Amino acid sequence: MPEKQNICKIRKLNRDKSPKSRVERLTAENGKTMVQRAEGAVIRHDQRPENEVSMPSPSDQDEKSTKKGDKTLEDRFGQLKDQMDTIQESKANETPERDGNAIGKAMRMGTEFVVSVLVGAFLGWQFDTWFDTKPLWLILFMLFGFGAGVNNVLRLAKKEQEAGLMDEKDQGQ
Amino acid sequence: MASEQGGLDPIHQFEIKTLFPMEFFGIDASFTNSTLYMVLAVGLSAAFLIFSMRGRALVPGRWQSVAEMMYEFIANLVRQILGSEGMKFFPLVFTLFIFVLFCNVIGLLPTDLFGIIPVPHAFTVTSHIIITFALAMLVMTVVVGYGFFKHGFGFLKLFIPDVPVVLLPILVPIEVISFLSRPISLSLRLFANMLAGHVAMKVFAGFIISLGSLGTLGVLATVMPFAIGVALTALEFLVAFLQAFVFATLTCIYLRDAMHPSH
Repeated sequence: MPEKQNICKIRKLNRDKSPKSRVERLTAENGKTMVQRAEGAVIRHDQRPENEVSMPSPSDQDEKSTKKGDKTLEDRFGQLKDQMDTIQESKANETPERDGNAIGKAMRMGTEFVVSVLVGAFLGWQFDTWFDTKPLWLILFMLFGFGAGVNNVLRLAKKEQEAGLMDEKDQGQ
Repeated sequence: MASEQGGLDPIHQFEIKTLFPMEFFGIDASFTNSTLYMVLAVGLSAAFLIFSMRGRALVPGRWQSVAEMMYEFIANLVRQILGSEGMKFFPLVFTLFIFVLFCNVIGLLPTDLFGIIPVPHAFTVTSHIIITFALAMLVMTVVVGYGFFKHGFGFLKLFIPDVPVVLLPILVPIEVISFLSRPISLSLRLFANMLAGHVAMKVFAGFIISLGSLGTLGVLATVMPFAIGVALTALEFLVAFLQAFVFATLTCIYLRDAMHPSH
């Protein structure tokens, strides 16, 4: 009995099949197979439970062997949910652009803004020394620098927001 | 006070020292400690990659899988941002990443590890803005050069946003300035991170010495700056990797503009 191997599989199904979550599970136990359906990421999990291998069947689906109560089923659902969560987490972390700490992002926005203003001011100052029109270009280009800075920061923020929305979407599935 | 003691001065570690004076056509091209550590970074990274890929095993060993992981990491980054036709820039991005990464990490080592080197402490090449600015200008030169080579004057479309013509006199200078600020913010980010991190580490290490000279209570109190110093060291390793990665990412993002200049 303890050497029996259970293979749990969750298959990604077409979502329009049912609005609610279904679990597909392939369990090899005592030569019998049970199929339950799950929605979510593809997980292949081989496991060898130490205590009891029997898999209770859901009452509405394939009626096979029921050795233990619903508690084991509930446990297994919980286990699967945990696994799905960890896999989704690791998938979310795969996108490297979303890595990095928040301080880094904030620093980046700050430098981006300050540097734009400084570059604008420097350009204006340089034009002034070339054309001998002391404060005109400096003022103008500093304003342009502010504009460029705001533009850069907004662009960054927009990218962050899009990434955040994608994250929410992933979790909502 | 601190500058007299030398060892406690947090800026002391960034000093450039000439090891072998050299001069070409009146230009000072001495072999300094910065040069030495750049040579070290190039040599070590080349040695690491050559040594680890020596076996070329189908099933990679430990060293080989580290090298392959680095390769895959940057290759995925380039493929993600530039597409598969952007893989021609992979050598550039990978070289920049490896060089910056090795410079950052070598700078974190206490030099006693290599007793042969005639420098009292490890030197962080990337903590000098001229180095990071040179790297950023290299990237921008490639961006501008490839942009004009590929699109001719169509590259200038990069500076023309998709807005009514009336707004162009205002928005074109803004776009130009934000393009010109790129090499500066790119270099400033790497430089500032490395400089600030090393100064912070040195300051907290200095606290340990100052507190230690205050008697028994002071010696007991050194636990606090020591703990922060340990935490900072770990953080700096993360920053060293992260900044190399950010440099590579931004290089890719800027190269994408050269490949597809229209917004």
